[in-house]
Amino acid sequence: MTAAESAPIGNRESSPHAQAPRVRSVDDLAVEDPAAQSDVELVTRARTGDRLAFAALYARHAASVHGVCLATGPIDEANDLVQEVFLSALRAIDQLEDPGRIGAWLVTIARNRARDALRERGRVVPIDASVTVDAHASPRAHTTTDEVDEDEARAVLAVIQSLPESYRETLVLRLVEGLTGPEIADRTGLTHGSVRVNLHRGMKLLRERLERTGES
Amino acid sequence: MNERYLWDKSGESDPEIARLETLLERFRHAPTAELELPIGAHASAASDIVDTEADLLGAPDVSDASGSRTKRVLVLLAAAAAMVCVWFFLGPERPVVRGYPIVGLEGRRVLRVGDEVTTGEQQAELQIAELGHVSVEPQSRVRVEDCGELAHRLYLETGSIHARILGEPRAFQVGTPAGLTVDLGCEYTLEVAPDGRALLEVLTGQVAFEFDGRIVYVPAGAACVSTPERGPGLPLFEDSTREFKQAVATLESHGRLDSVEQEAALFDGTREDTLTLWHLFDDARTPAELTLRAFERLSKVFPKPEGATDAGLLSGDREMRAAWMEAMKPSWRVQ
Repeated sequence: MTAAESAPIGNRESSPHAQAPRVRSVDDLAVEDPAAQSDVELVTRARTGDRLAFAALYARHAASVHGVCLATGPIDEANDLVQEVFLSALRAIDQLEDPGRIGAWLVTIARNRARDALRERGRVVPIDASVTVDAHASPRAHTTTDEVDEDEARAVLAVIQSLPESYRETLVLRLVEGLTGPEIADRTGLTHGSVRVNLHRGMKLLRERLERTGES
Repeated sequence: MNERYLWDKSGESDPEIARLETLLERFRHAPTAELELPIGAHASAASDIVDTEADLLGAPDVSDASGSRTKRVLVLLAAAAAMVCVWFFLGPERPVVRGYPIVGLEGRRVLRVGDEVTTGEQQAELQIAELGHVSVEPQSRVRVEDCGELAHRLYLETGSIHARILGEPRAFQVGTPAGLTVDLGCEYTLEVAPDGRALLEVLTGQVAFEFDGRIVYVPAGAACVSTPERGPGLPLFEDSTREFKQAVATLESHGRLDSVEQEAALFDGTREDTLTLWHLFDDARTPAELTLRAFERLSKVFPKPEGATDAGLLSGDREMRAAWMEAMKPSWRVQ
């Protein structure tokens, strides 16, 4: 093995001999690693049939798409809806006018697909007056069996689903998908100000509704 | 509630939010979940999709000639599209729906002009033509006033709606006992209390709140309360300082400020807070001394537009004022 071959990838200084074969640099890797590329670059590559590029787009945006599906559509169908959204996106990726806004585009597809799924079920998001949730209860106060947690989690999610769309989407992305405010803005195309307002107002409304349903 | 933690998870963990995170993370998208696309072992994604379409259309498998297969599928798709067009123009008469489809209520599914919907415990969602959606929250009453003859217009008698509209400015409007909200391309929540007061909160874009010839602009992140007696009050950003909000509240309820501190809070606010000062300045009902204070503050922040004079602006010249306000809008998060 030559010195160049054994050099750590990306460490240019480890190959001091001008005559030695050039090792791959960080820049080279950045070009090859889809995960390190911008949305615009990935969309451009995906349009040529590059599956790695599309997979990278999926890895980057699946959480936000999943969150939007979960915020509006049937809970148990969220994963299937994500698959449908990306399949639709792949079919229509040539029609995307601004590749830099693929995040917002995917979210729009997800929103529409989730609504359709709900309509196919012939109902709106249930606002179940019998849902009883106490958001302020201490975790230790529960006899935490998995079933109790599952029921409670579904009840809380149902209350979130009853909120106005922008609130529920932002809250699901934050509380369920674990994205931060700046990440939500980046993935959805919303401004930081809008996301901040959605989070603030959404949490306020969620707390009120949880308290209300807790009293009922 | 710890706003910093809610925003970017920094700072001290908020117990309530952390508990919800723990409870709800079971629904999180699994990072390991793979995308299941109909991709063959050697074909590119694009050609595989054509294969899938071909399968759906029942096209024969001609795996040795993907180019001809693509053409065949395109021909089939074109034929299907042509059939749809023929049916569209020559087929049975299309039902003309002059109303808004409603999802979530039993019985009647389309709201027409004059129709009213009252929600109980349930939310209802209206499709507003091609413009977007309006969610009618529980315990609300909404009436359809115009389905697009002049505009798409609802009337919110009581309760709350959430509108998400993408359309031409003024295409969608909602009347309330306390004035008319005119959508300028945005998303907002409008709530009407039993006594007729209306609260408008704008999430994206901007909304004009109109009442008795007066117009109040409410951009993203701002809110405005309107009363049936006086119309819209001063709009203000929801993240303005507490002192600023208190000064505005005092001014709205008493018609004056209570202290030097309140004056300082109101007139030394942020650049964004000039949204409130502009509307204070532009309201003919504002006492002269406050109009002047607002004018002085606005003059410090924004240069006057070409051709505008102090005398003209103070005397209410509409063109001068409109030009000055346009210069301020970029500072008000107007998107």
